[in-house]
Amino acid sequence: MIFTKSKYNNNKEKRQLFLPTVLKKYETSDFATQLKVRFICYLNIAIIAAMTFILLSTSYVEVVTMQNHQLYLPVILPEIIQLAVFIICFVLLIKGHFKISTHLLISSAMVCVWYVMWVDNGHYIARFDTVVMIIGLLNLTPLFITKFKSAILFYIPANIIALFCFIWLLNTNKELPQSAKVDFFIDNTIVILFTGIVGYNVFSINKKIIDKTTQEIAGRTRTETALKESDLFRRRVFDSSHIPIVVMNSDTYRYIDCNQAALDIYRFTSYETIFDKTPLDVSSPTQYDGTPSAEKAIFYIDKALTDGSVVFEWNHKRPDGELWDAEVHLLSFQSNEKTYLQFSLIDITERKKTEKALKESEERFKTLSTIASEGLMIHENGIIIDANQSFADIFDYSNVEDMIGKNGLETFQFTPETKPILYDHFERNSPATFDVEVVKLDGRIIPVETRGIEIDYMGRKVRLVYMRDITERKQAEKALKESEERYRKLIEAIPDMIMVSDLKRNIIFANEAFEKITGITPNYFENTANNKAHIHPDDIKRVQDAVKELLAGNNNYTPTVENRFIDAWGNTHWFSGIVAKIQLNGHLVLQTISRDITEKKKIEEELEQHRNNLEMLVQERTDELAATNEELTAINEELYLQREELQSALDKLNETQKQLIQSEKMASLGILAAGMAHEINNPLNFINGGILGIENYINDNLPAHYSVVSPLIDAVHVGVKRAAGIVSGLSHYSKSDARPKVVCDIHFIVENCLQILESDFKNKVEIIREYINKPLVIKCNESKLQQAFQNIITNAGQSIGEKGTITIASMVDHANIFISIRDTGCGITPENMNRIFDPFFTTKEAGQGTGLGLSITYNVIQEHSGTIDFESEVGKGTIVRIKLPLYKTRKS
Amino acid sequence: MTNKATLLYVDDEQMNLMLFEFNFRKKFNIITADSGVKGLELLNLNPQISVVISDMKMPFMNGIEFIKKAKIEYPHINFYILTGFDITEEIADALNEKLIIKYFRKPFDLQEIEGAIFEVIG
Repeated sequence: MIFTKSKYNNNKEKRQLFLPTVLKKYETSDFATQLKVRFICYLNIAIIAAMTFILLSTSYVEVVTMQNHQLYLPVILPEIIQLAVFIICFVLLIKGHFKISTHLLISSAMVCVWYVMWVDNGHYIARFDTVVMIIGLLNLTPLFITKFKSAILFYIPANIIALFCFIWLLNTNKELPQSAKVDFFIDNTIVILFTGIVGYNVFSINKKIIDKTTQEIAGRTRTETALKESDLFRRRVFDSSHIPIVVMNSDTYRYIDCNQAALDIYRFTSYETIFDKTPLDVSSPTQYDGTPSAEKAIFYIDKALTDGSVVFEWNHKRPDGELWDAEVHLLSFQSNEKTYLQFSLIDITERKKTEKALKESEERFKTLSTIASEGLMIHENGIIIDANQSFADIFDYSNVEDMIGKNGLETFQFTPETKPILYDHFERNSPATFDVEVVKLDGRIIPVETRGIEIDYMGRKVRLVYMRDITERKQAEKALKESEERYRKLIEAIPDMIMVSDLKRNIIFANEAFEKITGITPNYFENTANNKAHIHPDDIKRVQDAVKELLAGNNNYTPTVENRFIDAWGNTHWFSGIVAKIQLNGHLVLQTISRDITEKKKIEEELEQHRNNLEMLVQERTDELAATNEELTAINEELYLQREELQSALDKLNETQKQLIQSEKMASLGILAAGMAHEINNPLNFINGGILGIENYINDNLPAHYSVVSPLIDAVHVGVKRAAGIVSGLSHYSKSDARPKVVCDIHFIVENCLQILESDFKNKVEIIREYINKPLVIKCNESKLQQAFQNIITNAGQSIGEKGTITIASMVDHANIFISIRDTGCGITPENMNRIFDPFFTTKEAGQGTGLGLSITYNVIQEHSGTIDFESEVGKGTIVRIKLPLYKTRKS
Repeated sequence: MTNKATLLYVDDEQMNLMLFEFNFRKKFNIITADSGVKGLELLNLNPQISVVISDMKMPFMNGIEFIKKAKIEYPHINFYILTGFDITEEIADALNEKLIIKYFRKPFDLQEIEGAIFEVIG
């Protein structure tokens, strides 16, 4: 562009050179005007010079040649005026008023000529030269006219009028005949008209030619400039375009040109590197559909050559091996009768990647959702966007497309019970899994597990809903439940006890019969003592041996095992059962089916007892016979026999008592003993009352005798007391004792005994306590139990001669309290050991013991469901072991 | 004489009545009855009786039955049982129901009985 502009400027400067410096004003005018101005300018100067010369010469002639030697003013004055007008014209021309100046010049010239004709006194014919001047001036007019040729048409009538006036109005022409005047006028008018028209046309022709030429020149210049400009422009556009453009030979397919953008996108460093490259040098070996690039390239080039252009996507390869994608706009074009190919490239690598990723993701989702047996559906505010076939199947849609766009909540049918659940989850946007019931087209109701989660789907928040038909699962669950129920009922209905335990005797399962009889309700979730099968300690080994044999052997179950079993309340049962080994959930467990045979055992025991009794009776009879036979033997012997008799009678009484209690058919020995006590207590009351009266009487009336009778009275008192003590002791046999049982700590009872006995033990017996450090609670008749312990501890104390110790220890297990009382006393001989519990059996001196102590103790311990054992060695000491049931609240 | 409390002692054995009166007359005005029926009659005749001690085992009407009847009409009287038995269910019930204040064992203990009564009547 700059180049073009400078060229223009040069042109103008050149033209200006033709103009004189006075005509600066016309620098910008067109060429024709400039020429005219220059001409008028020179003409003006010439006229002024000529006028000046004429004026001077005329004046000289007038002054010199004329008779009066005076200036002839009518001639000189117009000449002066004429000169002034010409000067004015020149000034106006210089000032730039070309039109005014020229018209003033020509019109003044004409006026001047006509004036001269007017004032000249010569023959008018002689003055026709002046008319010729007019005609010449008219011929000149086109020179003065620039644009408006109509100006010529003004001068023609003006001159014709001037001619008319000259002929008819001027008196100098009077002598001419009218016809000559007319002839003269017509001839001159024709000349003037002819000249005017010719001048006009010449001007017109000239102007047209000039205009055309000017136009042609201007057009050619413009075309030339435009041509030059567009070449460069295109080159620049091509180079600076950010769109990569490449030109290649349509025959050789070699690159012949490209722009910077193309170099950049190909990652070539210079233009040189790209020349002679072919499309194959920048392509990956194969294209998207697997076709080799060469084959594909020829296909597209042919298409571009036939159709003019083609658009396609192309997989490129850069020199460093990087692959990239481009959209190629390939087109063919002609230049210099040769065909070229040109293409532009748009990098679509990212778009391709995105498209590919999107497509893959879509494919993946489609594949997944198609394969998925679960129903999957995407909806936006209930409107279904997409779903898979499994989902359609749930709602009996054969075609997924039919569902899309519908409102799922309105279209699908759910049972009235479950629909609110669905709505609730939907409204709360809850991601929880829950079950609903779908009503199928045929009215069938199927349970469905469903779950909805919010996901981003193409920038929108939508819900992905998953649904699964769980009919089979539900049916299986139901069937399992029914089957379980059936077996449970079966097992519960069996009167025998069924217990399943592991190898460590933890109860895993027990039926109702078991729980009812044993009171053990296994807590299947906790491994507590409550879950243990409490086999009687004496029988554990036997049971364990049977189980060992079972586990080792080939048999699946043991022969019948009979064992004692301690229930939750501490009672001992006899169970008869069979243990089987079974696999349960992969673990080896033991299933015991047993019956409570306690009653049977009791009867057996009773039968045994009866047999013993019979034997005893036979023995008694024998003894009696022997006694009768030896009646006359020594009194000692007799007494001994009597005592034996009494002993056996008491034994019998004792045994009968047990028997009576057990059978609960007869009154207890207690009632008997109590009745007896009353009968003895009344006479004792007489003695007591009597001696008291006597004592008081002597005290009041015969105080002097008191000291004499006092020992006698005391003896009676002692007798009464001892007798009352025996009677009281006997009454301990009473089972109808109404004193309530209380809950108390066994340690407290033992401590009470020790306190009572403290004075007896002082300086003689040392008590060592080995108590367990927690309360051992027992439900008992406190005073009776205290009596029992007191008897034992008293015996222990009395067995110690000089000095010794009594060690009292306490222990506990899950069900029982164990108390042991160990002394360092004289011990019990083996022959006495069998009789220690016999009533009235004593080794103590008369008056020291009644012989009822241990018998009572034994009864009290029995009453409290406990056991008592003695172990003794003469000279070393005795250990008494007492076991009592631990009191347990039902809760524990 | 007048400031001694009047005590009714009921026992079916004459020997017991005699010995009781002999031993307790120093401290109390003793009225004795050999049966429950007689006891009720004497209670009717002697409104000044403030303490009643009865044997347990008696023909026709035992001590608790007698006291039950007497208690209805004379709720202000302090009743006791003196028995040859150890405690029985009937006696335990009577104690629980506050029918009797205490029960004494035969052979009687003079100090125990006197102490218990004076503790109540002052």
